[in-house]
Amino acid sequence: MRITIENRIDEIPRLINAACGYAEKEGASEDLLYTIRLSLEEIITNTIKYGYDREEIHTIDVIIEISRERLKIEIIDDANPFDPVDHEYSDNDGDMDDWEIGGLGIHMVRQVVDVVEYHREESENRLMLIKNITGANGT
Amino acid sequence: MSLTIRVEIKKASAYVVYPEGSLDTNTFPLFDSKIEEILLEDPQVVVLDLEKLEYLSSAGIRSILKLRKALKAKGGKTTFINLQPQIRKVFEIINALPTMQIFTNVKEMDAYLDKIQKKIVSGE
Repeated sequence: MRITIENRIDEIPRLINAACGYAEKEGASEDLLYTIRLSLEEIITNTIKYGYDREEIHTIDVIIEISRERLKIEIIDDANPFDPVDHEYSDNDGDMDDWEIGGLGIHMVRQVVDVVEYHREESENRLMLIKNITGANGT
Repeated sequence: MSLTIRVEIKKASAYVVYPEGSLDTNTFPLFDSKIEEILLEDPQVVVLDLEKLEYLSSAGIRSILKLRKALKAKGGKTTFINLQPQIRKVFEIINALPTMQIFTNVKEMDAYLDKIQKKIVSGE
């Protein structure tokens, strides 16, 4: 399923509703729905807030695929290059005043998915998130 | 994916905040503005009762940490009660649980607030 939104924070609820609605139809578990919601909210918020230099309308594409074995989320945008894989997470004592911009959200995403892959292709960021569905293949 | 917030003044200078729904990138400004109103009253304690909080994003966490920092600067304390499993998990992920004062039940919270109240009355 492909969903296209504009780079506005108030587009995020529509995106999450569409994505989770689709996932529910595909029989996704609560845990999987949570993964989708968290990933989309955190990644797209970062992209919208920090990815664009000027206030212009851009579009962000989200492709979601669910199979018996895995959830795959692909996020494609034309924002500034940003590689979350490269993002260092600094563990600390819970006093988060020193967190770098966007670091907290990305850290959260990395806790709920199994694979984060980033490619820059021409003027596009392509981020792929994969979560293996436990129980499939006897794992 | 909306947020409503109820605030109860429990004892003098103890405020219990009940956010209901989703505290996220779209709803945190509402939370922040409620908190700002409360902070103007110089509370000793703010209790966040998270029983009805269904979802907490990093933007919501930032709001909570901002509250905690602002209140601490005024000599007050932010505490928590009724963390649901999915909310607890979020605090776990960012390793914040050890620094949080969490009441396990209302009785414990009331006892704590009574103690604070007595301190104020006796001018400690």
